[in-house]
Formats: sequence, C-alpha cells, structure tokens
Amino acid sequence: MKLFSTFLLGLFIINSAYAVKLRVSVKAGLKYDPIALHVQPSEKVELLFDNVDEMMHNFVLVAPGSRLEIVESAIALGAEGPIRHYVPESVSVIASTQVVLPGKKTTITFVSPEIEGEYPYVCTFPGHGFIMYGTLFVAKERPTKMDELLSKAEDVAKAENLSDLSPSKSGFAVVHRTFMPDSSPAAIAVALPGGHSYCWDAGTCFLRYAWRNGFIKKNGSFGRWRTLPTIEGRVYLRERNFPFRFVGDSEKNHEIHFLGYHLIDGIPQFRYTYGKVEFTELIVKLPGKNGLLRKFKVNNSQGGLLFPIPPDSGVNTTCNKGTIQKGMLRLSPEESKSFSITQSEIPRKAPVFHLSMNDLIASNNRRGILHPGAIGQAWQFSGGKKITPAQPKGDFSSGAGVSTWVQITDPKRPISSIISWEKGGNIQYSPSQKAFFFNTTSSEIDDSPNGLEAENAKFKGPKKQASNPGHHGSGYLDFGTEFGQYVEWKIRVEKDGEHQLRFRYATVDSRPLQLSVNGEVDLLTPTLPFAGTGNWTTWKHQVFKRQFTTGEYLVRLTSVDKNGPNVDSLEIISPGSKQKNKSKSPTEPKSSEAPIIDGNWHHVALSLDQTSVRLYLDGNLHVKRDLESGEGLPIGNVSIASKTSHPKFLLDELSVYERPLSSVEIKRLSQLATEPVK
Amino acid sequence: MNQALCVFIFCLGLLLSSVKAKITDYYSLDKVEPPKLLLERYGIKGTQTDGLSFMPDGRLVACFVGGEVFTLRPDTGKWKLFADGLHTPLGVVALNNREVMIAQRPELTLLRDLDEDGKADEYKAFCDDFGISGNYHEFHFGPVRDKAGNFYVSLGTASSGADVRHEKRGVFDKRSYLQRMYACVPYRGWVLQITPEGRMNPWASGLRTPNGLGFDLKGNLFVTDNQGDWVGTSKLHHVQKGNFYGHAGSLIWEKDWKRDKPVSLPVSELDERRETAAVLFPHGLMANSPSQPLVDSTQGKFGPFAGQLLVGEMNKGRILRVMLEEVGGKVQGACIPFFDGNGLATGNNRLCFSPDGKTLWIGHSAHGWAGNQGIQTLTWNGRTPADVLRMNLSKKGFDLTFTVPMDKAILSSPKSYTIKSYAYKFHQGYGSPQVGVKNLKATQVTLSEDRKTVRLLLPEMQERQLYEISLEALKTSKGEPLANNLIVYHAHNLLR
Repeated sequence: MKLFSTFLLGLFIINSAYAVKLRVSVKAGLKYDPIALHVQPSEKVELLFDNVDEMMHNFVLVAPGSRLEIVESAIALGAEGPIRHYVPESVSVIASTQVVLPGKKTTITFVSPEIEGEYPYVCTFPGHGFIMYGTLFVAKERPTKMDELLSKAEDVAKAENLSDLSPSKSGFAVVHRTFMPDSSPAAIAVALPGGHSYCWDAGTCFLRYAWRNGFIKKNGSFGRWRTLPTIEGRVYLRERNFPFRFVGDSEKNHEIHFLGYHLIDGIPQFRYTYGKVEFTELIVKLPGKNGLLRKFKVNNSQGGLLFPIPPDSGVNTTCNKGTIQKGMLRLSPEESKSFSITQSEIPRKAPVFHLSMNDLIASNNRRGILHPGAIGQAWQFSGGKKITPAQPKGDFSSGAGVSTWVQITDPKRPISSIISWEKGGNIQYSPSQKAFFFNTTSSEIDDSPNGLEAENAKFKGPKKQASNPGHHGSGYLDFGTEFGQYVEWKIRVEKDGEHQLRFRYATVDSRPLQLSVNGEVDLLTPTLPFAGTGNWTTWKHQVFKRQFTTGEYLVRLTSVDKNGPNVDSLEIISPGSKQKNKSKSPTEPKSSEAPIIDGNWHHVALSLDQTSVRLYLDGNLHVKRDLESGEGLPIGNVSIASKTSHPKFLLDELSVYERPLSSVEIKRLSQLATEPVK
Repeated sequence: MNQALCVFIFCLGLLLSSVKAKITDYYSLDKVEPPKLLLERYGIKGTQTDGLSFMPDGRLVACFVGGEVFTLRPDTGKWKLFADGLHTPLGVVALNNREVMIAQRPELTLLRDLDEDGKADEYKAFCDDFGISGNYHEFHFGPVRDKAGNFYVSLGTASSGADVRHEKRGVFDKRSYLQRMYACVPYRGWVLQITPEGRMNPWASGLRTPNGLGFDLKGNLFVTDNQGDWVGTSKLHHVQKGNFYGHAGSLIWEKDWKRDKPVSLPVSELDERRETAAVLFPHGLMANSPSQPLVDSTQGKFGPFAGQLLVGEMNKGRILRVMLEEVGGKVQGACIPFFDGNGLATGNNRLCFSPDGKTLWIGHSAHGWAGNQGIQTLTWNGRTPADVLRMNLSKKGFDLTFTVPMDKAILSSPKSYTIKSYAYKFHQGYGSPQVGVKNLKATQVTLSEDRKTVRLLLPEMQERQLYEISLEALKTSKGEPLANNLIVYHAHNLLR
C-alpha cells in the first residue's frame, strides 16, 4: 500500500508539472551548445541555461525573423541595459532568462508557441547576439534541417577565427579615431553592431555623417596614413552644422567643447558643452531598420532646444519627446533632459555619393589642385585622365540625378565631358548649343547591361563562366550538373504593382528553372521554360510578371534537372516605366532663356527619369527633352572630366542620386552655397 | 677533435672575449612577445610601440601605432587590451592602476578604468586646446609629468611635403605655412604645460619635431629635436618657460605676435633670440632622429650611470647616453652611445625602466620612416662596463672619468686622443655641415691616482663649439677597450 501511494504521488507530480526538459549551455567563441533544439507546439518547457562560459550571457527566445531587431533593441537600451538584463520590451520576446554570471545557471519555464516554425534563441548581451544564437524548432516531427544545422555547426567551429574585432565578425562596436573625409581633423569613426557606421566630429561635436554596409579602409603607408580613409558603404545621413539651438537664444555660435566619451557596451557616449550646457549623446543602430537612434541628455537647456530637420536630409526624423513643426523639432527644458531622436533611412533619398571637394584625398585620389569653391574648396580639372572617385555601386534603373557647382574658366570654349557615367551619358558644356546638355551614348535598352548580374548575386551550384561572348558584367552562371543548384538575387521594389522580372539567358534547347520569390513557388508557374535561344551565344530574356508591394525580395532560380541554361542577369521593370519600343520622340532640346554662363560659380543639376532629361542652371530649368528611342538610364560608376576636357573647369559639391530630382529640391540645392559665390 | 685543439680554441675564445668586450657582456638584450591581437589585426607592423609606462601594481602600459593601449603582466607575459581606437598615440604615463594619461593626435586623453575590470571605460578629453591642420606630420608627443602633477607635451610642425585640410581645428595663420616645416595652427612647434586641472599654458617655442620629453633628477625638463630646417643637427634642449629654441615658424604663436612671417626675419635676430641646445648630437655620428630622453633613476640598479639621460635613436639600433653639468648658469654636456647594435633594433622611440630598476624597456616604431617594431628589454647583469662615466669641462680642457681603472701608459699619452672641434650653422636650410672644423692635440694629460680620471688640456677653448674626442686607443687596466669610444661635448659656455 505504501508502495502504491508513492507511485500515485509520483504520477501526480508528473501530471501536474509535466514539462519537456531542455538544457542549453555555452561554448567558447560566443556559441550556444547546442545551437538547435526541438519541441512540440504548445508544450510546457523547462529550460536550464547553464553558463559555463567566462562571460555573462542570457537566453532570449524570440519570434521567427525578429532576432536582429531584438539584438539591436537590446543595444539601444544603452545605460538601462543591465537593469533590464538586456531584454527589450517587445511582443517578439517569447521567453527570457536574466543575465547569468559566468559559472552560474538558471531555469525558466514557458509554453512553446502553438504555431510551428523556427524560433531563434539569442544572447542579447550587447555584441553577442550577432553571432550567439540558435534555433528552437517548434514542430510535431523533429525536422531534418535541425540535424543539418547541428552537423554544420561543428564544421564551422573548426574554421573560425575568433580574434577579429571588426563588428561584422565579433558583434562588438569599433571606435577608431582617425582623420576622416568631410570632418575636422579630430574625427571619430564608429562602426556599430548591425552594420552601420558614423563619423562623429570631436572638433565640432556633432554627427557629420552616417553610412551602412561597411566601415573604413585606411590608406597610405602603414603608420603614417597620409591619405584619408575611404568610406566603405553608402552614406545616408549628413549634417552640415552643429544642429542644436536654444529657444529664444540670439547668440548662434556658442563655444563648443569636447569632453570625451564613456563606452557603454563598447559604444561611445559623447559628452560636450555648447555654451554652458552639457550634452551627452549616444548613437546606436535603429533596431530593425536602416537608421540611427540618437539618445540625448541635456540638463538646463535654457528655454528649451531646437533641432532642425532639413527637407533634403536622407532620413525620416522623429523624436519621442517634443513637437515637430515646419521642419523644426522643439523640446521644452523638461523634455530635453532625456530624449531620443530616430533617424531612419529613406531609400535612395540621399545621394549615392557626394564629394565635397574639400580634400582631394577624400576621394582616395590625391591628384589635382584645390581652389576656393562655392562651398569650402573646389577641385580643378584640365584634361588628363578621367577620374573615377571611390563610390558605392549605384543603381540608376529608376532614374538619376546630379547636383553640382561648376565654374568654367573660359566659357567660350566647349567641354566634352564634365561628369559621365560608365555607360549611358555625360554632362557636357557647349557654348554654341545650349551651354550645358546631357548626352547619352546610344544603346538598345533591350540589351543594355542594366540588370543585376547573376554572377554578383548569391549562388550555390552553378559555375561562374565568362567564355561565351555577349554576356554582361564579368560573366554568367552556368547551371550544369545537378538539380537544386540556385542563384538568388536580393531585389528592391520601389512601388506597388505588376513588375516584370526579365532574366537574360542563353541555352541551345529549353532548360526550365524553378522560380521562387521569398522562398515561395508560384503555383501556376512553378518553372519558367527558358526556351532555346538557338545557341549559347544568343542571349534572350525570359520574362515573368508578378504583383509586388514595395519592399525587398529574394528572387531565386533553382535547377530542376541535371542541365540548365546560362543565366546572365535579372532586370526588374517597374509598372509605368516606358518600354523600349516607344515611338521616336522629338529630339529638339527645349531650353529656357539662353543662359548666361560666365566665369563664376553656377549650380548645375540633372534629373533623369524613364522618359525625359531635365537640366537646371542655378535652380531654373535649362534644357528639357524626352529620352530618345534607344536611350536608356545610365549605368555604372560616375567619373569626372575626361581626356578631352577642355578648357579648365572647377567642380564643387558633387552629389549623384539614384533617382530623378524634383524642381523644388533642385531649387533648394542651388541655394545651399552659403559662402559668397565668386 | 683532439684535446689540444680544444684547449687552443678555448684560450682563443678567452683572448677574443677579453679583447673584444662588448656591451652585451654587461647588458642582456631580450625581446618581448607582442600582443597577438596586433599581429592578427595588422601583422608585425602593428606592433610598433610608441609609449611605455608602469602602473604601481607592476603592469606595463604600452600604446601602439594602430591606436591600441595594452597592459602586460611581465610575470605571466599576458597582454590585455586596455583601450582601443586612439589616433596615433605617442606616449603614455600611468597615473595609478586605473588611470592612464595618453597623448594622441587630437588631444591629451585621460583613460579611466572606472569599474576596475582592466579596461578603460572613460576616454576623457583632458586637453585639446591646440590646433590641428590635418597635415600628417603634426604629431603630438609626450606626455611627461612633473612632481607638482603638471603634464608636458610637445607638438610637431607640419611637413611642407603635404598640405593642410580644408577644415582645421584652431586658427589658421598663413604667416607660417608651407615654408619648410610650418606651424599654421596654434602651438605647433611648442612645448605645452597642462596643469592637473587640464588647463593649457604655452611653455616654450622653436621646435621642429620634438619627439620626446623627459626630466633629469633635478626636475629640469628636456626635449629632443630632429635635424632639418633651422636644426643643423639633432639636439637636446633644456626647456624653460618662455624660451624660443630656433625653429622659426612657431614664433607666430607667441603672445601678441605682430610681425610678418618669422622665416623672413633676419637670421641674426632669430639667432639672438634663440636659446641654444644643452647637447648636440652630430648627424651621422651620434643620432639622426633622437627620441625620448629618460633619466636613469635606478640609483645604480641599471649600472654605473645613475642620474644620466638615456636617449633613443630611430635610425640606428642605438641608445645614447647624455651627461650634463651646469656651466655659467647653463645646462650643457656630452653625448656618447650607450648601447649600439648587437641585436638592438632601430626605431628606438620610447623608453621606460621596470619598477625594480634593473631593466630598460624599449619600444620600437617607424611610422613609415627608418625604424622597426616590437619591444625589447635591456637588463644589467651587475658587471661594470668599461666606459666613460663622466665628461666635465675644465678651465682649459676636459676631465674624463671612466668606470674602471685604465691602462696607465695609454691613458697618459696625448696620442691616445683624437680631438676635433666644430659647430653647426643656424639657418633655414635643411641640416648643416660641420663648420670651423679644427683638429686639436692635447697639450697635457694628467691622470688621477686611481687611473679612472684623466685631465686633458687643449691648446685653445672656444665657446659654442662641439668637442669630439675619439677614445678608440684606450684600454682598461685589464686590456679591454671601452664599450663606447666616441664622445661629443657641447661647450656652449666655458669656465672662467
């Protein structure tokens, strides 16, 4: 009887507290052990987190696809991080432990999600979450993918180099003081976990610019670094001046003093004084989005603070306190004690690259002579090789824009090329015609290499080849020996509506490929035929039409047989864009009043859309014409001057955009020159 | 091999070692394993070392070319990253176990480890009250700290081989711009004093590339300068407040400078205005790029040269020794190599003594010029090297004192001394030849009883001259040559 009662008791315990027990530990090099777990949906889970590591960690289970956002939100907690155990408030957090000290353990219980899926678990201790994570598979059956993950993890562990401190490898911020372009010489370059970087100027105490997709490359001989570093990536935010003003303060330029910085999770929190008022500023990546979150603390801000939001900034600016009116953020003294400014990138709003011309070395190119410019200094050109400054790869498929100041030393003589694209056009100067004009090199849009090259996309299986002529870019992908090979493009769709996906390919006979978008195969068109083009050197387009909403997509072609076509590129045609076979348009340039070009500075802007070319001089429309049949949008890198450039000209503040510019915007840009134009 | 041959070789070895006494018989040279992280980030060049200082708890603090600051526990050889991302740091002073003062290009920075985890949490801008034009050659050297807690730093001038940035920090003044080495922003070419509160006081001007500051035991401040325009040969200056040391460009930052370009002033006026160096290092013979002066504060634990200054040299594997005295109110003296070659790398940029005083730590760097990388150490083994201990001016010549008794016959012969006197020009040109070279013979040689001191009388003595004496012929009483045998005295003042 006694035995029986013990049995009953045991049964009772199991019934009431039935839970699947999981154990997660930590391996050296910021890794969970194991990196994959499996539970049933809606199952009670008792999880032991055993931190055998030398560092502090936590365990946070999050909704599918939300890992990075949670990781970045944890960093954005800043000084509050430790109190909250680095767990941000979010509906995406399903379960979490506290921060567990080295050598300690903790147990949490939770009910697994009822929806099947792959739920990431991640250590949100700052810096860790970019590499320290695993996957909880919620599924009725243990997925085979889980075992693949587990075996793959072992291979990676052997090859990894853990000492690299760049944020992409380690997840930690990098703070590097160095000379930087477009900054005072007391610059601080910061790479944030999450792939965004910024230049903060310790001489003038403000954020000069921010960029994404890379950090900096130092130039010049080691240890001397006489040439300025190159910014690797794309600048989406620039500030021109110290932004803050006090409400009701007539003095516009108080003294600014840099006081230094504290590191919070490796990210600098700057301290400075403006007048007698002390500011602190912590800049982190905007969680889950492209952009920055800037946390300020300003005590005794006199009558309150003003922060201008310029219309041509590349970001959307909001603040958790105060009010924004007419492009000005206003904060009361109380509100300014602690506030956060959010600046999220507006895609393609900022120029793809900008040259202030203030330092020749800024363009990674010391050739040339500097002269006083429209703003700061300008670069003088007088023939010689064309110069292609370091720049991010631009995509001008939805339009192009240029804003710059030009000074021509001899306005009576023509200049064959002031600014030119690798393909598709240049800005010239001809006194006998309409002064400035835009010329495209004639090419069939149908066959212009303005697609996304397959060899630059992500691919696994197909071989990169370049032996068959007629391909664009540096080669094409040869789908060959087995099925399951794929190429995957990441594309950005800028507007809602039906788009064309145009795959450029060649094959002797029909060799279908399966198309998927974001992992989904179209039920009606599981494979695209890729009909024979006749021979391997005849390139044609396989077209597929699909509804898209604005956003980013992964477009993948997968081989379904042991042979496949050669795939060259993918071109996306957005709705409303004019197709090649349009009737010949009048080519007669329409100009405004004959412009007066003299030896002074003039603002020149170009706006190119799918149908027309507009040139502006000093903010006013100068030349407008329709694109001719066969004229396309420009492609490739932008260069300055050319061998035949003649006579001398000076160029200043060159901005190149991946979109057309509006006349209002151009007007504003033409008024930017604050220094007297001579 | 037969026994006789072995004995012969052994004797030959003895003979050779007795004849060819080397500095390595007295000091052992070792290499320090650098931080692995630097090798991984940059390769070997990343181990260029530009600052060394010991914390009270025995940890070494070192700063490196890429902007890293590490601590090292010398007993375990374990490095730990203390601070990162500094802009060309060129000197450190550990204030305590948690605070390190460091001179980086844009500022004097106080690194503070607030939570005592061995890593700096705060990078405090302690003083940035000086200009930067963006010219790569505008280095920020130092700091050193005096007994009152003031810091001293020195600011390099800009190179005429490169221009300035459009955006600068500080007032831009074209009166000193692109004329050889120039000082177009405030206090380039100056030594600055920074008070314990972080306030900056301009201290002394007229320097070109003052790569190294140091005190002697009396608290006199010294700075080296590199040969070039206005600097006929490299120098060691005794820095005193308000002095101008000869490199013209920095004069525009004198209070209320109302005149035109300093380089267009008459050379005679500049010469009149300048304070001459304490010691001159003849170019090619002694040093081409002297670096930090460090006083031997070890009270004899590092050998017999307590109180003298050691000075690094970038171009050669050499550390110099400087012996000073006060003559007619001026600090002046002689320089002689201390440790030369024998495995010592070039680029001897920063020096410091271990807390026990037995070991000199040497940081090597190059920055794209002649030089090297890594850290070496020199440890005295307790044996007294045969060397010149002191050189003092007398009324009609010099007294040379040796560390050991010398061979009487050789020491007393005037023929044992090859003596030259010369000077260097003061002009805007780059460097200077030796001018007014005279070969001199000792007219009288008197020995002390212990055969350690010799008095050389010269036929004539002239002020503002260098007296170079070669002692190659001398032998100790044991028949050994001197470890170093070329010494140069700067007789700015004469004894009357």
